[in-house]
Amino acid sequence: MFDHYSDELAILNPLETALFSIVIPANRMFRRHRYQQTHAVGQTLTFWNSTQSVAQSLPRAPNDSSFLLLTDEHGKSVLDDTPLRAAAIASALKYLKEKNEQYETVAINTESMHALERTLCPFLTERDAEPRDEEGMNSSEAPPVGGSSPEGTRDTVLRTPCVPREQPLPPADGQPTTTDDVESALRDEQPRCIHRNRFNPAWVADTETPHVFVVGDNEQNTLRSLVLAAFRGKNRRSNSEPGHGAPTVIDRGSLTFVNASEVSSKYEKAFPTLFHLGKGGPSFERPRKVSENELITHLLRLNHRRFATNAQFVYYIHCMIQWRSVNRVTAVLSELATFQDVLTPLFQALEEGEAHPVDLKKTLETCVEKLTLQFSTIKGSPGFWRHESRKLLVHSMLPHHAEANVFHDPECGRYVLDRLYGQCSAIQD
Amino acid sequence: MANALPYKTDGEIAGVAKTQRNDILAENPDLAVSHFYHRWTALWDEIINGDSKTLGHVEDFFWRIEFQARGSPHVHMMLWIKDAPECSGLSEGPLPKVLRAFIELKVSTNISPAMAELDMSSLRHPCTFPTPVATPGDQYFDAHVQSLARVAQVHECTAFCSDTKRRTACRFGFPQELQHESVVQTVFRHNKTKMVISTQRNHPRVNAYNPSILGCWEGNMYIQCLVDACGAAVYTASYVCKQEKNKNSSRTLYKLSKNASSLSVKQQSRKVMIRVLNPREVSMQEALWNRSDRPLCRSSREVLTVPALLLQLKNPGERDED
Repeated sequence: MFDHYSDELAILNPLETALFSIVIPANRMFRRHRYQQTHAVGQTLTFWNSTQSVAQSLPRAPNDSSFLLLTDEHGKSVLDDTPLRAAAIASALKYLKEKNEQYETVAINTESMHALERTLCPFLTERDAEPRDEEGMNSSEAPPVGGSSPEGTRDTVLRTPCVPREQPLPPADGQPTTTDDVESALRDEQPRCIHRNRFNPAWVADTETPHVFVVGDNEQNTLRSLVLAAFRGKNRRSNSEPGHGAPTVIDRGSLTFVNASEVSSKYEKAFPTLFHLGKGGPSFERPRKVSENELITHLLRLNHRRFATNAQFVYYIHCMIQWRSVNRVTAVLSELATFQDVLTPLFQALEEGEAHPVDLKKTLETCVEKLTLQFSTIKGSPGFWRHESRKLLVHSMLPHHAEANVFHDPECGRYVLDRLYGQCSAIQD
Repeated sequence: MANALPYKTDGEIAGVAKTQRNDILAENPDLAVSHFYHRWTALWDEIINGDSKTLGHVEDFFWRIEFQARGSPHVHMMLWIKDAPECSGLSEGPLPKVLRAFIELKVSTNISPAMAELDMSSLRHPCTFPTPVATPGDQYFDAHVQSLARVAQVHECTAFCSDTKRRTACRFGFPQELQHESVVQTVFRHNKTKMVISTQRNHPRVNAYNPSILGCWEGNMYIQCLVDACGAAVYTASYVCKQEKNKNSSRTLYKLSKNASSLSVKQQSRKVMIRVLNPREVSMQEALWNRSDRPLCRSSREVLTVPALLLQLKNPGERDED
């Protein structure tokens, strides 16, 4: 599945890959120099929701603010020597449309393609700072939508001018609509002279800055604040706690943000050059179920090293799995409270010998129902209920508890549950 | 290097400049991680705990993998050697005979005079040699160890350990006094007075090393003998179990403390966890190490946490009475 790797995708650089990825995660990697040595240093970020943008048509437009490419402390970008090649993007898109099932429904945006090939750097550069009002926001920006803003957003917006500017696009009339037309259009325009931000009125003629996206002093600001500022408040969470019922898709203007945990096949959509056939990620059905962590471990140890050398992929999966582990710990904490509320009176009743069989059964059902809402819809005999309840609590809850071993010991939990079910079974029989 | 540059010969790889090596390291973090992992497991299993037992029989241990800011992994570890001579209750002055013999057998701060005078620019770093150059027992092993000691063990002060503009002293205490024999000294370092064992030393800037381990590891190391339980506790707290630096954590805790009265303990801990854990800077190598399920630490003893909650559930009546 992962061995046959197309040349069309192998030659692409990270920015070109990001331009035709269906899903773009917010976390990005950057490099910086320390002690005169180049090392890959990154930053993982965890957002509770709305961290990804999904494209319906590709490649992404130059005014798409889903990109965040940082400079190092010496002003050099990660992508100094990785220019955009519109022809390479076009051939990769053609390949993906043919081979990748995730790309079957994606439309090719010819306007974006032409905008990309007309300029070497279609994004706003560091010297192209736009005037800002007192709030630090552009007048063209949409007001923030949704709930309360996260702390620090206001400060970083004030300091960080990182808003991409819209590029003048060619007229829509007579534009090619298919990949072949795009390629023929590209051929017709050869040879062409590339000028960076040629159409941008604020373009500074003497700039040699090869940055592809505006980033301020990233040594002073955290990546989190830069991302929040770059998304102009579109990424604000509407609920502060994990596990909330936030809407899956929030359409704000030209960008569509989705809940990171509810995107199907997000690995295949975010990394088309790694999962080039549109399958193979954690959501892929396998004869033997594997966890996301197991799969990632396997991918990182594959002998062709394609996954391990892709820094974007490594940071993304590291962020996601870390997010899961943190989220699970908090979930266990909240579940333990529910568990405690239900079990404490139950044990008191058992110890005092005043328990009634019906009350115990009802309490147990309440306990199960509170722990997993979807489980309460299962119908069956009392024996089936006992079996399923035991399986749920012993085999489903305990692995979660075992991972959160800071808070309790799984053996003690197993002892308590066995004791509980022993008592319940004896009473009901 | 051979895996990163499969089309180059050994001679061409040996001639790669330092800046190119750094670039190759940055572009191949997975190779660097797996290389370090295999080297470390081989050293731990085959050398330290192998048949030779270079340091003696390791009765208790705790080691932890740590990543520098630029991403390179290194190991901090504490070992308890079985049947080692008693170190507690030492006073300033010469070491007891048995202890001195034991320490000088395991730890060395000497370097051959000929090697000490050698020009560093003419020496290649040991990692550029195809390994193994020499194994313990070979006639060339001692010469190999001495060249390694010169290249990898001699401390050179940089901006990392001392401020050259302000002319502050090296925070690792280099250069150190030469010693004709191993003694116990009282030193004032990091605003504290403490007892240390200074081994016999003929070079002021050599880090303490074990010759057999250095010959096999071919990299820098620093071995210290812990004199008392307090030293072990300080080492454990400051090096082995070093906290992860996060510039936002202290501010978060301060902000949280202002609203602490309205939150339960559970809510407070959850908030701290979310705030502190989320924006955490990691290197590429550290991310790869974690996601490859490689162990970050290991110890001979484990800590079992007994939850108060379940004890309360088990004996609900006793808790109230207490």
